[in-house]
Amino acid sequence: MKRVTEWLRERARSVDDAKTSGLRGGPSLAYVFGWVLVMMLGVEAITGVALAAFYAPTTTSAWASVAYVEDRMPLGWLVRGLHVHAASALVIVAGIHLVQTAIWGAYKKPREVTWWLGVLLLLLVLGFAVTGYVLRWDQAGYWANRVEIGIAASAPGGSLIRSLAIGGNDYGNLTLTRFYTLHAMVLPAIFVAVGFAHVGLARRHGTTPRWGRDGLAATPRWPAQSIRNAIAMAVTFAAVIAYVISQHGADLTAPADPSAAFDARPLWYFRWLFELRELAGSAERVVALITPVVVGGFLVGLPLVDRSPDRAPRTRVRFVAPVIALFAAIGALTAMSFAQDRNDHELAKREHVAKLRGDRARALAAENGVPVTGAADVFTTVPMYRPRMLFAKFCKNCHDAQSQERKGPIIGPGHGDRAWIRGFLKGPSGDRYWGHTKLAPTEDAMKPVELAAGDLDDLVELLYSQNGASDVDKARVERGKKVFDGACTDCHSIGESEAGGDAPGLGLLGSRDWYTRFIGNPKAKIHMGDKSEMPRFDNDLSIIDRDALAGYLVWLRTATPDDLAKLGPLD
Amino acid sequence: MGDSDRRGFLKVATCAVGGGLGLAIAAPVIRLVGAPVTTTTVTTPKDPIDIGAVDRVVVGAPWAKVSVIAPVVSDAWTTARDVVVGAAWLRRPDAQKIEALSAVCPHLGCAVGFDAGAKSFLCPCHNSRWTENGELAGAGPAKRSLDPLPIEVKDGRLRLTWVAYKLDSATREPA
Repeated sequence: MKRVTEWLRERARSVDDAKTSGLRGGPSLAYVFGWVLVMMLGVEAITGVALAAFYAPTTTSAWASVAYVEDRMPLGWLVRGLHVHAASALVIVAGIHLVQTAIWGAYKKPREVTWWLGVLLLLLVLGFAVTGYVLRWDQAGYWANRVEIGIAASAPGGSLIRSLAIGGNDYGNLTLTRFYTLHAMVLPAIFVAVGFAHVGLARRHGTTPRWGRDGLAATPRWPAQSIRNAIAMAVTFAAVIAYVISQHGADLTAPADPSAAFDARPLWYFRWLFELRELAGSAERVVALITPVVVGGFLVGLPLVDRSPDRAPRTRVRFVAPVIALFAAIGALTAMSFAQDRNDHELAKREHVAKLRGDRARALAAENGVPVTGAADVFTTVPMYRPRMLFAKFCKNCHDAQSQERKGPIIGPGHGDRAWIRGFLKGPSGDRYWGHTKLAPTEDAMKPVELAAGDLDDLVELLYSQNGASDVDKARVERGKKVFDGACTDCHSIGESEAGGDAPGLGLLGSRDWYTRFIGNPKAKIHMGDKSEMPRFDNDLSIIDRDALAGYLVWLRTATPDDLAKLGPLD
Repeated sequence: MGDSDRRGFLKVATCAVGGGLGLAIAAPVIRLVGAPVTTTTVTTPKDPIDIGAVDRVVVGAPWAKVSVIAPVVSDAWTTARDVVVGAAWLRRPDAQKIEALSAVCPHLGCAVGFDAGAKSFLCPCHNSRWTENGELAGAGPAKRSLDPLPIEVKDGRLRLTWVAYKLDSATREPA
């Protein structure tokens, strides 16, 4: 115990008053990485606080709040893009910093503890990535997290880790509050503490000059090193912001959906592990759990085995080579993983569909807002969602133009307008009208109406006027009544709530109220009686649903196929 | 009492007071933060769930995916109706028989899709494959066949029991 404290005390001591003696060996670009990292961490902290001011860590609101920042707040995409992509840059620069330190032998006595704290900081950065990715609660973040937690759960004692991490027995609100707390409070607190210790020790020991330069006179940091640091920070920041702008921020896929398959991939800096698992085949579980331990153990152990005071890489090949080999392997595995996905055309198709769905969800969220019931319900905010769903479920099979099993008249744009009525009168058993019904080939079917063109127009106007539309030619309607009396009253009537003789009463035909009643019971005496094959829906559909459907049918009368397409798909 | 005894006592006392303070703060916090571990925070229904009319699965047709929508799910402080808890693959080899497979990958829980081209099930996360009957097809890391789910037909309605099984294990046991 005493030896350990003495050992640590020695590491905590300043080296030749390094603070005042400046840089031994002169300024160098090799020293800029620490400053670049501090700058990027500042970017993360500032953008993170800004994002936190909008974020809502609940399953129903998380995606919505991220989409709101991304698509509706000024420069939200830029701030969120910086937060996401600066993290990537952070991982890259931290990796370079680590490799540079290893090549320089800068982890040697008395800097071992500084190195270990650095390794811990890198681990914390990866922790930020894991805890941050799930917060968006989109398909990508949700499924990546499920896989990561699944891997952790397969470790010994893993089920405890799982329930602690996700906050209970299943993914839910507590999953988000926990990861959010870790990401925005716990990890930053630990990071700041460890970061200060790391930087504090580094300042006490001063920079490690390049091998062979130990004897050179020390020069002041300011301004020769400072300008190098400043330029490196500016270049890195410019690169990150250029990337953010070129990508227009960070991606956001469709809201998390536990029923929808998604090609989950980890963040790019875990891709090497993802690829390694795949290569490991049946040993994947072992590989997934052991590899991080082995890599971490190797990095921690380096200063304990490479202890000679000589720092020249040439004499330390057996230590420097594995470090470079490790990062080369990580790079190669990462490239392999991406190459494999790039060559998978089926994957590309699935990803395209997923992207369209995500874009649609965001467009709807930006246009209509997200229902409080949850982000997945954003798809229900399309116009006339409910009646269109009902139509697809109950009506489409018998009434859609494309249906193979059509049994009734086609219902689509223009249904019930003047042209439709005229077409019907001229050929009630035509294909788009009753051609597919059992009635059509029988004697009971309605015969085509044969009238002079003017009379037919008047009759059409009369029937059309029943729907209550305002664009009615009243004079024609009056004339139409006479035509109706002459040609139709043997079978039909047109008074309100008045049943016909042997055929439907046509009062209010095509109005919302008429549709609601007809859908409820087409076999009612006032409608089709026994001649209809259509089932009654007054049991399966509430009056609210029937009325909604009726409203949709009324809308269809004046809609064009373009209008219908513009409503967008239903899921 | 000698001076060194006194100093020794004060050392112990200081540590005891400090430790007690720490414990007094830590204990309730640990109890609170650890509570979800032993709590059923998210309820998923144990009873059979109505997933639609039996006619929605056509006799002899390939596997069809249906979302399993729980009538009520409580999640920590919220309760919600009609919550999608997962998906199942259904088919009817003949009019009397109906089969249901959980779409949850037995490896790490991703949603399994059906690759119509290769006539096999495919997990998009780690490329595990199963035959058309849900048996392991030798590709990918999954250790068992897809999990069958209890399903029955009652008054013309499909009633499915949603079960979450333990992941990444060769044997099938409820989680």
